[in-house]
Amino acid sequence: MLSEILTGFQYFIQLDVLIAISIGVLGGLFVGAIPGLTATMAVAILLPVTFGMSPIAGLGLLIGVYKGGIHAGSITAILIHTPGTPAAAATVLDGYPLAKQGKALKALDIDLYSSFTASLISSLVLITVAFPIASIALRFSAPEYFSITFFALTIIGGVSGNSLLKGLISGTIGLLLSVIGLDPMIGVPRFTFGSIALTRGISFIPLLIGMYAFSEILIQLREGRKNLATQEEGKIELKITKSERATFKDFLDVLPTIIRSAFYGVGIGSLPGIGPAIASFLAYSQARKRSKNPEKYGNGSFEGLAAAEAGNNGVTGATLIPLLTLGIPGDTVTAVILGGLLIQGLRPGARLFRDNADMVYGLFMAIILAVILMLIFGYFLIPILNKVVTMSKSILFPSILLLCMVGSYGSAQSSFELLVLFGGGILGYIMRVYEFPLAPINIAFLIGPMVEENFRRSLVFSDGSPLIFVTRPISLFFVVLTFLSIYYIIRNKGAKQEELLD
Amino acid sequence: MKAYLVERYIGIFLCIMAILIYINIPSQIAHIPRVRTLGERPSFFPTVTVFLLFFLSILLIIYTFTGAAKGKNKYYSLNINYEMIVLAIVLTLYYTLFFRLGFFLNSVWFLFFLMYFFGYRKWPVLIALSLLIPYGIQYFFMEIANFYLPKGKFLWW
Repeated sequence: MLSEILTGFQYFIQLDVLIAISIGVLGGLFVGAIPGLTATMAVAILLPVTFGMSPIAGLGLLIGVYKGGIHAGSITAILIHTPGTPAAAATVLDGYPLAKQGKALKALDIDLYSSFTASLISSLVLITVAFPIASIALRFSAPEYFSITFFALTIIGGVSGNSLLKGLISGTIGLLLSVIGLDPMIGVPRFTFGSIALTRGISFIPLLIGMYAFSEILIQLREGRKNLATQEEGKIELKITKSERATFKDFLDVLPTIIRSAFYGVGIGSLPGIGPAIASFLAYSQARKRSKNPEKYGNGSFEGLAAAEAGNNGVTGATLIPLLTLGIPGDTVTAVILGGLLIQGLRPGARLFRDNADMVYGLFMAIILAVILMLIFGYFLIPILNKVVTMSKSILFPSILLLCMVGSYGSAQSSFELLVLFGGGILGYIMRVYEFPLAPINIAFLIGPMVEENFRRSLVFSDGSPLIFVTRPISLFFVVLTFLSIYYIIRNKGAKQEELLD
Repeated sequence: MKAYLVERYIGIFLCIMAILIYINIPSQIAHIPRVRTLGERPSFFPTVTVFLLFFLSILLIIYTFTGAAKGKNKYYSLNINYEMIVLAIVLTLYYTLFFRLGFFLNSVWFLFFLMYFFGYRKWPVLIALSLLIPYGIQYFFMEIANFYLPKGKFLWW
């Protein structure tokens, strides 16, 4: 084990890795600070860039963007009353009132310390539990993997949107898209319509970029060009002086709230499909229930701000647990990070921990460095990020479109990828407008071949009998869990979410 | 349009799609006899998935006739506006000219036009960014990330 940790450290302590993580965190901070640009979008756009990098550098870049992006979404929430990312929606509740009271800098500091502490806790939980879970998962074979992926797909379909039915339809479309190309077991072409380009299947990079980045631009264009103008209205002017900054005592006052909220984030993050926005609202509502001053919540409470921010950042490490140990992405960002792992030739799951443990240790070190850099850059770059929040989208969007196209083209050096990008963007736009969640389609598309392979392998073991899924204890457990979850989701759909948001 | 009507049409569309895909399975997936050691045929999983899509689409259609769906005061609109149509034309042009003009030249006009169209009016910045961003992207992808980007038929630049 020690030799693997040392080899992991050797992978990690390379100049290209350190530069990649730094650029990732910086990029994430800038992207998150611009309203309308999400961490998922940034991770998707940067995915092709990781092609030529070492695995730790490439994944460090993506994780840096993710961590930085989730935190920076709160900067606009505090300064211009607009969450930079959906995860920061609860931060607006107390962040903006605090800024209006002249405490913008202190609010930004508390927000940063909460993000850092929660992100660190979440990453430490990931490091602590990943190896034990992976060692259990090593005993799984095809039926267990099929039942787990089926369970995850059902949960993601059920909870990631407002409608179970729409989520399941989205996931089924993802599965159908994943069968295009060569059959995973025999290699027979399927639905290629005679096209050589389709024989390779639909590339996930242009599809993901199209669905998350291109469709986001289309969504922003719905309101016309005026929506792209610089958002100066209502912006709080930031006075950066030492006396305005948060002190260590201010941090200690909210530390218990941060720790509790971080664990809510960890809990939500380790379940598939729920995501940081819900974690943030849940942490916020629980903190208000426990608070001695609940009346301050919504009117400028540092506790409320810390709870919301710790809640969403608590998700960032935990959401990697199912991804790394079982190969199942829990949300949209981890679906894209799964793409990054596949690009590097690493198939996440229990075998990754057995065969590439050194790489996993290197990755854990990269995650911790990303969290520390988020704190350092976040602290010193506040004056610059303050300017970025009102950056003109009329410059940004064409540049992002260009990056999307280059990244998609470069992923296979083929113009067909540009068509997949445009198709993915249009499909993503239609789905978002009609409220079909994007997470199930993408996750199903990525893990579709794994689902099919395990399903068919299971039937080979059982000589065609589907009873194999209910005669093996772990598989049976997940099958039962799937049906119970569907029942629970149908019974509680809507009511709980509305209650939480109220 | 009312949300439940849109959902009903989507359900009908998906139903038709599922039927069309099912009809196309024999022509799009070679028929291989079931071999015990290889398990189910290549068409097995797509068939199961198509049936699932068909079943879920029927459920969606049925749901739109219920009181719960009709009672929602919700509207959907794709809201395809002038800006989106212009963007579609520009992207089609960009795609068509990608190999003829090459990445750099093609991206210069693309960026310049879109930034101007989206409302940016500071001319020196507009011109500088239209040249520098494509150059920077080309340099990064070709020199650092080792990607090939088309140079086009006008190699004078």
